[in-house]
Amino acid sequence: MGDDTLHRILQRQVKKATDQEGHVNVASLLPLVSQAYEDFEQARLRAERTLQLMSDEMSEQYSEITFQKTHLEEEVKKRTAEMTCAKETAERASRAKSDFLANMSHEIRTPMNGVLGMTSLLLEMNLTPEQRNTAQIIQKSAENLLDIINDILDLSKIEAEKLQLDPISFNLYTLLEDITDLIRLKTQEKCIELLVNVDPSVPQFLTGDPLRIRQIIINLAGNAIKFTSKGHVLVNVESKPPKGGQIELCFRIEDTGIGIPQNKLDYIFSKFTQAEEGTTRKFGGTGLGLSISKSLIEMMGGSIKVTSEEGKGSAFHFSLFLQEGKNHISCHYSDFDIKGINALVLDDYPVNGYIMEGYLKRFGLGTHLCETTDDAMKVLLEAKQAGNPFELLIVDYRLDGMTGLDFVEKIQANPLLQNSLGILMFSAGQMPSQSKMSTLGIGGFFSKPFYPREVKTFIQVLMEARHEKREISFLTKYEVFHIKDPNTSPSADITRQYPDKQVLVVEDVKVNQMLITKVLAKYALGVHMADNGRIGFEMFQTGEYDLILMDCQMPEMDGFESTACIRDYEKAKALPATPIVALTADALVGDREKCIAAGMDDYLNKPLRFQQLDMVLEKYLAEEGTYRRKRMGK
Amino acid sequence: MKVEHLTWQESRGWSAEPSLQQAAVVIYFAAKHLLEDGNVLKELKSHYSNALLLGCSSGGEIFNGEVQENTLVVTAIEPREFRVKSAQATIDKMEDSFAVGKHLGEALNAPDLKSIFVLSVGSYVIGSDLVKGFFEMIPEHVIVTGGFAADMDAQFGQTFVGLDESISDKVIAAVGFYGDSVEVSYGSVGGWDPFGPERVISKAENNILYELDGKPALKLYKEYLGEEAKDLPRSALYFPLNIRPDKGSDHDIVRTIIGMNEEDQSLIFAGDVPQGYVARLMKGDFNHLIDGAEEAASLAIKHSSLEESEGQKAVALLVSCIGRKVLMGQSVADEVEAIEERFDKRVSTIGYYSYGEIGHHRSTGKCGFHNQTMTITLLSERTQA
Repeated sequence: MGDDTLHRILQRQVKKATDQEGHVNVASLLPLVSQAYEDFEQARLRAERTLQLMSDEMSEQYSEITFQKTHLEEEVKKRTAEMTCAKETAERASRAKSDFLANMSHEIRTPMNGVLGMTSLLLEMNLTPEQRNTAQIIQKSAENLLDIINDILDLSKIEAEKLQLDPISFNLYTLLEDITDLIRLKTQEKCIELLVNVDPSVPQFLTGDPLRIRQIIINLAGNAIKFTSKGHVLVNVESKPPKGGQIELCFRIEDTGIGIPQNKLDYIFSKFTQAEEGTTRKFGGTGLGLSISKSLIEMMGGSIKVTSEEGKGSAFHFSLFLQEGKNHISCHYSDFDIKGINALVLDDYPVNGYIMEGYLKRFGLGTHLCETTDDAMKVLLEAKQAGNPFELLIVDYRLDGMTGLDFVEKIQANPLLQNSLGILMFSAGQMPSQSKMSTLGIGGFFSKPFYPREVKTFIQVLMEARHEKREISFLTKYEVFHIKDPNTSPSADITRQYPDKQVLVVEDVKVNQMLITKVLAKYALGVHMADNGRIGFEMFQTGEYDLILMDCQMPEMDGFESTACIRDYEKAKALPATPIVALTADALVGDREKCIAAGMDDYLNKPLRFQQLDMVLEKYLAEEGTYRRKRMGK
Repeated sequence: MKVEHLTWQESRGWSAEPSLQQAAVVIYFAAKHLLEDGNVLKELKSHYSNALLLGCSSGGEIFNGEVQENTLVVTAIEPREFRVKSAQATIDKMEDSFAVGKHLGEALNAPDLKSIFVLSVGSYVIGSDLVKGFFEMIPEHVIVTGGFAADMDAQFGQTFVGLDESISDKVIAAVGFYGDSVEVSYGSVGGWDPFGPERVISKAENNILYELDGKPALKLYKEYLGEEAKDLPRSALYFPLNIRPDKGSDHDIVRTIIGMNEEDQSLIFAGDVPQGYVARLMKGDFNHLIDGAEEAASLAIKHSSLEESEGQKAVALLVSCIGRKVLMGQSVADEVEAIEERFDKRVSTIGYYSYGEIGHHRSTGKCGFHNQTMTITLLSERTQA
């Protein structure tokens, strides 16, 4: 016994039941064996029960989890339904608000259109000075009111997230020139300098929303002018190298005005706020401009900040992210190499002189800046005597103690310097007598603020002519640009005539009918009036028109339906499409899309702006007899 | 260090003549009735008149790789140079556990204190509080091991602890080992397998567990025990409870039931069951329990210098939980054999089946009160350099 082949327990049991003589006592062995059987039986039963219970518990937990999951899903469904409901309610409210805004916009702009249009016509009549003054006050007040309404509409659109940018390819330099042309008058009235410094690295052609950029700059520069009584307002533009087709433009609009108290800096961008409670009363404005500008800047991916010192002035810095422009048109009007030419700049206002000097340096010119006439004369003579004479003088009209003309006269009277220089003159105000300037040997004149392109072109044209010893006419902005740049549009104050063109105007409001008729008469157009969309469609079928101006909201048949009828008719008769331009007081986002979707070609906002009208008429009528001829030929 | 191992059983008497007259400490474990009878203890004292005697009643004795019942096992130790000192205290109610631990710790503390071996009665004591009490008074590096007295077949009745000639059912006694030559290492491993869902201890107070996951604790145990519920609290030993401070913690402790209260459906444990801890039932696979015991032996050797020092002898004091014996039945001898195989001839083993073990946690090293483990204390004296 005690065999190794036996189970270990049995071996142990046998050992225990073995007496001192080595005999196995069966009576002792059996209870041990029996006990082991019982133990195993118990252990087996326990294991089975444990397994069963554990599996029961697990499945109970599983059903608990499943229940909770279902419950949770139901809860989520319920909450989602509640939120959808709340969202729909909010959206309905938001739609109602935008519809109300659109209606209000329409209701306000229609009479405003009448007031503004009629006033401008009135001002063209023969009026007594008192009548003229009165009419001008009406015009000014109406324009102010329109600005306020536009501000409020803009803000509502921003709040309703309905404002959308309308990116197109545009010429930034032209835009800046337009803006400065517009605000220059105000700086001239207040006798402050308007300075524009555009870094030559700033691209000319960009893709963005020029109207909104214009709105921002006019707002900030307008404010700067408003709060500045002496010194200058500077618009500085720089750009960072393009990244993935995106260009960051950095603007700084700086003034030497009253400044903003430190404790107000934080909330000047919030709505309905000006720095002081009394500011609105003293300086005017809705106080919405900065808030709108901030929102617009942020929509263009940028940001705005302000630094200011009370009594010394403020500087608004903002950045915009724009795309590169697609149609890059060269803007060099003369290829003449001006590098290495020695130029002297004379300006008693150092900031201005500094900007000019910066431009010249970037063009590759050697420059010297003088602030006094005595100094300038000394420098010119010394250079001449040293055998390294200056070839170009750029001089401000307004100098210390004398005019720029007086100084040039002194130069030409000096035998050493006589006729040795190309001379350009600039001024912030009125242009001096052109014949006087020509007589004194001044080659050209440009007004401040000046732009790099303008300055460079002037220098190139002038120096090329001097180099070739060729006589040229006196250079002005128009001389240079009209002769050399075929892309520039004709001057705004020359109204183009379209004597053989016929325009169908579909408009229900009598005042507007009168106004449009008179305005279009200036272009020598044949005007045909329809009182609503239905009549317009009838007239279209029987008449011949080069252009249709279509109001949108009209009784009986609105502009959209009328347009659809016209387009269907043209299709059925295989006629070419007559251009249809919408006339609408609705200035909300989506209107343009709505008009285009209805089959219209373009879109004019009421009140009508002459400039916009000019553009539209030129676009659709300038090409000789395009639409009507084709149609008549059929 | 000299060591002598003896056992006494009714049919055969002493296994050998005691010879270590100069033994300084004698540790014994015995069936309850032998202690109550008192004669064997008297003989023991007369053999080792100069020694400290420390022992307790047991639920089975371990002697040289075998599990015995109704016997007395004894180890007599004669140090070459280390010192020993004993202390004892009486306990009347569980709430005093911490204070008693503190008292004993204070009595035994000394700058050269290396280790304490403590034996406590199986009732009236919250083991975790007792251990905390010790460490209030002694430094953290001191190794504290030991166990709770037990009785046969896990009756959870009266248990005894003896110091010198006297025994008592209300005593906690300990012996401290002092000096640079003494070396004590330990290994404490369960080998039980947690199973089923994790439950949060939702209502508990000290060592009393009321609710798991908001459900009465006793009810859960009865469900798992089925018919065996009639043998409660003994049968609760089949399903020890694994508790951890939180799901991510590795400081897991095994607790076992020593009583219950039908009235409030509560279970009474020998150690604390803190509310908020995560609990899981455990079951015992024989092979895993035996592996656990073997691992305890491996750890004890690893922490000692036995493997580097060939001449060094050691005594292995095995304190194994009664729950292991109840579950494994006759197979329980396998865990002792496994340990014996792990040790070489220089190590002699005695031990007993207890109502709780005191030892250091295998992963955190923190001393605590355990249930359902095999806790091994390896005592030796470094050979002279």
